[in-house]
This record gives sequence, structure tokens and C-alpha cells, in this order.
Amino acid sequence: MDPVESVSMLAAAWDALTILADPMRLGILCLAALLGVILGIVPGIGGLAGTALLLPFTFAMDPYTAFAFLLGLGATTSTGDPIPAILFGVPGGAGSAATVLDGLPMARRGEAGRALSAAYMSSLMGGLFGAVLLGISVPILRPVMLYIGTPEMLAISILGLSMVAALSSSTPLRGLAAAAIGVMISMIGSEPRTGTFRWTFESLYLWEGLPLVPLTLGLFALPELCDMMVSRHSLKGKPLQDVNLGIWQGAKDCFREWWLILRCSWIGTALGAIPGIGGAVVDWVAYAHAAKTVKGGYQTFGKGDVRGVIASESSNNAKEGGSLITTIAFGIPGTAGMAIILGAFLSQGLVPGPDMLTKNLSITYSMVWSIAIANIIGAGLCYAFSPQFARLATLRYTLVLPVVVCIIFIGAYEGSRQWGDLVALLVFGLAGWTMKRLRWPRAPLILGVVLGDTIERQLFISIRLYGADWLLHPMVICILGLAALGILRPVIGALLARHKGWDLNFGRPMFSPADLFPTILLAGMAFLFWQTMGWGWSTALVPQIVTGVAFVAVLGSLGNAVFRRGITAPSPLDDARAEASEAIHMDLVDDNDGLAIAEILRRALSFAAWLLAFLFSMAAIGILPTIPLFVAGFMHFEGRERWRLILPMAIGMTLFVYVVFDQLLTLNWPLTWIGQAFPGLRVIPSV
Amino acid sequence: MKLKHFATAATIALSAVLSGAPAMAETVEEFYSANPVTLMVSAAPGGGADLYARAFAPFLSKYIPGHPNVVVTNVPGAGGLTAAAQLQNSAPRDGTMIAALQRNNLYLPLVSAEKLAFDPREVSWIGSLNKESYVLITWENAPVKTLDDLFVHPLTIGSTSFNNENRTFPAMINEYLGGKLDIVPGYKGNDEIALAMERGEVQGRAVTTTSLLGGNDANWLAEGKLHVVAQLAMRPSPAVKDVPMILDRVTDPKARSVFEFMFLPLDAGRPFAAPPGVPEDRLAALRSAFEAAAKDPAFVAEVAKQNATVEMIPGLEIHQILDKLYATQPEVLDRVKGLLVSR
Repeated sequence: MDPVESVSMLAAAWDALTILADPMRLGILCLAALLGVILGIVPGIGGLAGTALLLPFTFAMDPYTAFAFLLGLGATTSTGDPIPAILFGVPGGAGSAATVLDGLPMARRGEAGRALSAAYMSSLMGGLFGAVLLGISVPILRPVMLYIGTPEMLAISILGLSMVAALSSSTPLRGLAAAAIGVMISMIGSEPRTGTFRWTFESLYLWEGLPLVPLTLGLFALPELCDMMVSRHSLKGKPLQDVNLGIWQGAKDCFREWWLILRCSWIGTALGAIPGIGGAVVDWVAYAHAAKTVKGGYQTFGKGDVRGVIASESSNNAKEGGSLITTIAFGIPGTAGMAIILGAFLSQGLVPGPDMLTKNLSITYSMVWSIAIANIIGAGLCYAFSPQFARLATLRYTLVLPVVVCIIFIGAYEGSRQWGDLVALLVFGLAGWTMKRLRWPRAPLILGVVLGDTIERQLFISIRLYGADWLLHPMVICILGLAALGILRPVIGALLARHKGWDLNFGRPMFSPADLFPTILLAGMAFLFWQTMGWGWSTALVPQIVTGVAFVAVLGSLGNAVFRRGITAPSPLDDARAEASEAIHMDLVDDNDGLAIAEILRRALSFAAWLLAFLFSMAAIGILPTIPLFVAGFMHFEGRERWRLILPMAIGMTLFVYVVFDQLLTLNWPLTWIGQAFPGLRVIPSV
Repeated sequence: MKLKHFATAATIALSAVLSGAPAMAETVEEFYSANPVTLMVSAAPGGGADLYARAFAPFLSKYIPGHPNVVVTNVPGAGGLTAAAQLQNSAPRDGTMIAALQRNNLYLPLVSAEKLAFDPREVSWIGSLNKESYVLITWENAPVKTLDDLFVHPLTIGSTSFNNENRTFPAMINEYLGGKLDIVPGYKGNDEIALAMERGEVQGRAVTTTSLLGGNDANWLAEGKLHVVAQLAMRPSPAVKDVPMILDRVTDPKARSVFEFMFLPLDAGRPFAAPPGVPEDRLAALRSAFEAAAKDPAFVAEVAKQNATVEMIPGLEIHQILDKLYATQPEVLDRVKGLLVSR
């Protein structure tokens, strides 16, 4: 780059900073950061709903203020996300699902303060790093992106999917099965090449595939809540560690692990810049990377290692800078939130593309600054309220559960605002809980869902354009080599380790009730495979391959369990532990507090019954009348709470939902039975 | 306190149900000053349809008697059919719910192999905010630079999905005019195709005239990096009036009917509808408010700032378009199905 140009870039960056320093703009940025943190804390809502709501308000603003507002909000939601993840095991957004794995065990140990602090500090550092990377790369954005074609994107997506190997280290077959099932789920919907509807079962809801929000909430949030109900307390009765000490310690952890943060921020920024990958897998990829590379990671990750929190959160905040790259340079939004930022471009009359890097360079730099400043404000806000947040973790489950359940229902409904979202939430909740209890890793499933159809799409485009030659692109070779290395290294390692004591001593077959789950899966897959028969070959090819892979993997895992059970573990819930010999299981593990299985099932069933009751009541009389009934009912029957506590909770929650979701976010509630029978009753909100 | 509130509401509701009279006596203005209007957008937040709707909402509010609050809510899914089905089957029919639908909703139910819970003739169309038209563009170094080249040289173009106009229109050229287009579907969105074109993966694409004149395409066009090969529409667009019309090459009357069937819905580019059975006076008020709002200079300026245009057509004209579409001969429909339904 010639010196004149670099001076003008610095000048533009400085200009942008002085423009943003205007008190009015800074004020708006602070407001946005505050809103962002709050929306981040509320599970499932996230930045998408917030930015969509605020978009019209930016029509009247100048571009600097408008982007400060929207980016400030979008960037800080991922700072608020880890709070419920750490405290209740309920990720505030899809991007902090991996934070749960180590954050929750830390909170259970009484280290909520430390985990929170590490989350904020790594969020801050990751966010700043993402912004810096964006700022530095501005001049080379377009040339680089023009070099990255569909085959290169495909290779990166495959690299992302290869992380499945690291995320299912102790149970490789189950990890493979979960990933393949995830890819199968991503195949649902209208297929772009021939318009065939795959596995939509004549339901309009499935035309564009399953939305990600109910799926992640079901897989990761509901199981945690269910187990809260099973164990009958939110966190173990351990004394809370001194919060201030924990906060100091968490920050110190981050400074010590700066190199890890830098690496994970790279991952976040790079993946954020690849359209279609988005926030839901970034944290998992960074988490898998950290587990593979940090010292002793395989022994401690998933058991409350602060480095797990750091990896997940730093990548999660860094992705914002990354996803802005393609949005600015080409108008291709990296995430759903960026699609709205793109809307702001249009409404401001700005055209993403070359203009943003020349004529409107100062606007581009103002975005970089907005993300950086918002991250600082967001982390500051979180720190200010940390002691209060940390105390939330010690509340009784009868206080926490009804509130969080209500919000999760609404969050899932935000997915596409149809009944299908709630059905999907419950179905995946059941699947998630079963997987968690039977030790099937859940992260590979998410990777499969997010990357599956992207890979298929890019694969067909690549083959169509280049035939098999796409594999010979130099960058493709490098990236795929990296992916192969990631997959093969643990496999080879395991083979070598087993070689010492190679035991093929299968016992006689022993069946257990836990085998029911894989058996149902096998039957389901056989049915789905049969459904692919009528499709054209290009439509059916990938679904048939992944269904086959999933089938074989599940069958293998089932066989393994059935034939080895005789040798190893006695109880059906424990038998998975046989598989998890040395490598750790990268998912939460619950100790059952010595509860009998019948009792666990009874309590889980009653949790399911509460959820179903909520759903039916919502269909019958609307969500707003349901919420006070549900909150009061739950607190009264489950917890025998005093009415003096129940009434304010029930009324407060109802008002909160009414004001925030009905009035502010103007959610379009589903029709109710009494609303249809007596149209006059529709004066009541949500009926 | 809650109970009392509920009791009051229930009383009001019961009286409304039992008498049924208040609705009759109420004027349109009284009704709308007491009831907000929900504008359901059939697409996700942030896209073109959403932006139009969100910019339009305050103006609609300004011209509906009683100035109700117009609240925008997004119901994306199934290319707009989710919202369309909701509008027809379950939305309140008192005039408090309208929807911004998509133009494929006008013809897909006629030709789709799936059973759809939407019939565009059932709902009441209020109007449309623009007329769309398509052009086929190629990159500077592509072998195809003019319409005649199209039938001589092969050309790789990008498209999004099977049923999108950016695939169906070029597919018609191949099917009926002997075009040599290699259409690669699967790109996510128009900007991704634009990028693929810029980096040389594909050599061209079919694109709306709005997009050609608004985004990066406009700069490229000015710099001479694009060839505009053909117009894919019923009428020439004034902005590209020297570019040949593809329809002029269609001589076979049957083929021409197929082209016309596919091009006709473009005239209702961004259609708005109300549910069936909305009281006549309120529907009339909505329609005239729509026309007035779409012509409001401030709204036109707002849209112009977004590099788009407003070309209002009244609701009754959409019904005329529908009449034409639904009067199509069965054999033409079969050909259209051949285009839209995979074999």
C-alpha cells in the first residue's frame, strides 16, 4: 500500500472517531449497549429482535449514529449471553451454548463470579480483537474476498464440520451419528436445485427448514431446566465464593490466557466472515480448538475449566467484526443480525461494496469504533451488576424455573412466530434431555444443522462449475488437509492407545432400556430413507449418504453398548461411561445425587407435563393469561411457596411479558381457541 | 385487581359478542382511532420487502381515517405463503390486520403440486407499491454481450433457487427460444451471485431493474462493466429503453402465453392484502389510504433514498391481474408447471 493511501486510511479512522465522540452519538451508543446486554441476557431473544425493532428509528438518523445504534446493540448481546448460560445453563443466545459446558460447573462449584468475570473480560477482549482485525483488514477486504470462491468457502465449512471429531472425542460413533442427524435436519425444506420439498411432511412450517432458535433452546436450555427440576435445586448448596474475589480472578484468568483469546478471536472473526456459518457454531469450533490445544484440556474441559468459558466467549464476540466484513465489502450478511444492519445500509442510501472502502471510508471506520466502544461499555455494565447476577444463581429452583420457562417459550416462538416453533422446542427438548442423560454429545448436532445444507449447496455449485477440479485449488488443499489432520489425529491416537490393550472381548448381548433411544432413531432413519426414494438423484444424494452414515453410526454405537455392557457397567445410565474411558465427554454430565431412575423419570415427566400444560393453555386462552396461571401454579404446587411471594412474581412476570413482548416488540401471538369462539374476547392481549 | 380487569374485559367482550351491533354503528374513523392496525410482513426483517413496509407504515397511518398506529410484525416463511395462509385463514377480519405479501403468492397456488392453504382470489388486495421488471446482465468479459449472442455462445449464470424468477426466466429462454444458458442455482441471495459474478465464477445473472439501478450494479453499469443483454418483462422499462425485449423474440403463441403468465405478476411487485370479509367501508378506507400514502412525496423521497422506486397500482388492478392469471388455458398452465415443478 502506498504511503499516501495509508495516511488517508488513518485519517479516515481518526475522523470516524471524532465523529463518534460527539456526546449525542456516544449517548445513543451507550443506550444501545445497555439494550444489547439486556436482550442478550433474555434467552432466545438476542440481538435480532432488538435490531429489527429499532431499525425504523434509524431512518431519521445520520449514518454514523444509525450504525452506532444498531451495531452497539448487536455487538453487546453476545456480552450478555453468557450470564444465563453460566447461572442456569440456559444459553442467552445460540453463540454461548458452549459456555454452558464449563460455566455451569463453575457456578455449581460456587465460582459464578469468576466464570462471569472471565466471560465478560474474554468477550471484551474478543470483541476488541474482532474490531481491530476488521479495522486493519479494511484495505485488503475486497481482494481477499474476491480470491475466496465457493470451493474455498466449502472447504472452510468442511473444516468447521470436522470439529465434530474434537467435540465427541470420548464417544466418536455417537458424535458422528449426532452430526449426521444434524445434517439430515438441515436438509429439511425446499431444495434450491430442483425445488423438491425434502422431509417437509406437507407442512408449510418446514418449507424453509427448521429455524435454529427453537432447536438450540430445545437442545441446550430445556434439558438444563429439566435437570434443575429433577435435582430440585438450581445450584448445589455450596457456599458462594466471595464474588469480588471471583471477579478479580476471572479477569486475571483472561489476561493469563491472552494467547488463547487471540486464537479464538481469530476463529470467531474468520468464521463470522463466512456467510451461512453464523453465530451458532463459532463458539463450538473455538471450544473444540481450545480443548485440543490447551494443556490438559481433554481432562478438564466440561468440568468447569475457565479456559472453556474464555474460548467460547472470546470467539462469540469476535464474530461480530468478522460478519461485518462481508456485509460491508459485498452486502452479504454473515448472520441474521447482519441482515438487519444491511437493511440500515439500504435505508441510509449506502451501497455495500467498493464505495464503503473509498468514498465512505469514515463510515466504515465509525462501525469499527462502534463495535469496539460498545464492547467496552457492555463489559463495564456487566461488571457493574455482577454481584447481583452472581446471587441469582443461588435462588431456589421454584423461583427461577417458571420465569425462565416462560421466556424460553417466547424466545422459541420468536424463531418464526408459528406453533411449529413451540412443537420443535419440545421435541428437541426431549431429544436434548435424552441425549444428555444417555451421554450423546449434542454439539455435533448443531454443527451438522448449521453447516449441512451450506456444505451441500456449495458442493453442488463447486462441482457444477469446476467438476472435480475444485479439489485442486491451493487454498482448498490446505484447508481440507487441516480438517483431515484434525479428524485423523485423535483416531490414530486412539488406535495406538488401544493397541496396547486391544480387547475385542465382546460379552454376551445384554439389553437395557437405554437401548430404546438408538432403536427409535434407527426406525426413524429407515423411514426417512424410504421417503427419499421418490426424489431426483441430485436431491436425494446427500440425504441418502448422511442417513446411511447416521444409521451405521447409531447401529455401531448400539452394538457396542449391547455387547460390551456385560463386561463393564451395571446400570443403564452408567453404561455410557464405559465408552468414555480416558477422553472426556464434551457435554455436561449430571451426577444423579443417588436418585433412583424411577424417581428421575417421575420428576422429568412432571416437568414435561408442566410444559405441555403451558402449551395447551397458550392455545386455549392465550399466552398472557397463561403466564400468571403457570407461574403461580408452578410455585404453589412444586415449591409450596408463600402466596405473598407467588402473587408479585406472577403479576410481575405477566407485566414484563406484556410490556416488552406484546407492546414493545409487538409479537404477533398465535390464535387461541376462546379467541376464535368468542371474537369479542380478543380485546385481551394475546387471546 | 387482575380479576377485576379481566371481569371488565369479559363484560365488554360479552356485550360485543351478544349485541354484535357496535360494529355496525361505528364509523370507519371511530373504529380506527380505537384499534391499531397490524401490518404483517411476509419476509424476515432487514430485506427489501421489510424495508418498504417499515418505511410505509407511518404514511399508511397518516391516511387511514382515525390515524391508527400501524405496527409492523414479521411472519417469514415459505416464500411469503406462511403469512398469506395466516391472512386468509386465521387473521381477524375486522380490518385491523393487513399483510405485505409477495408476488409469487399470486400464481404459485395455481401451479404448485403441494396443497396450499391460500387462494389469492379469496383475500382483498389493497394495492402494490411497485412494478418490477427483470433484465439479463453479463459481466464485461463474458462471451454474451447482446441478445443474439445468447443463442450462439454458452453462458454460465447464477441463481438462488428453483422457483425464483432469476432461474425461471432464464429457463424459459432455454426452453422456448433455444438459449444456451447454464443456470447454476444454490446461491444465497442476489448479492452472493453478484460476488460470484465479480470474481468470475459465473458470467451473468437475471436481476430486477430496481437492483440494476440501485446497488453496486449501478456503479458497474456506469463503469461499463456490465452488458444488459435483454429485458425480461411485459413492457420496456424507461431506464433501459434501448435494451431489446425478450418478448419480441417469442413468436409461438403458446410460448408467448407462458412468458406472459410469468411476467404478469411483476406488475404487482410488492402487493398488500387484507383478509377476506373485511367490512366494505373499512376496506375502501384502507385502499384509498394506501393510494394516498404511496403517492405522499415524503414517502417517495424516503424510498428514493433507499435507491428504490414507488410505482403504485391500486388493489382492484391486482384483482384484474389475478383474473387474467386464473383464466389461463390448461395447456399453458401445464407448461408453466413444467417450469416450476421439478421433473
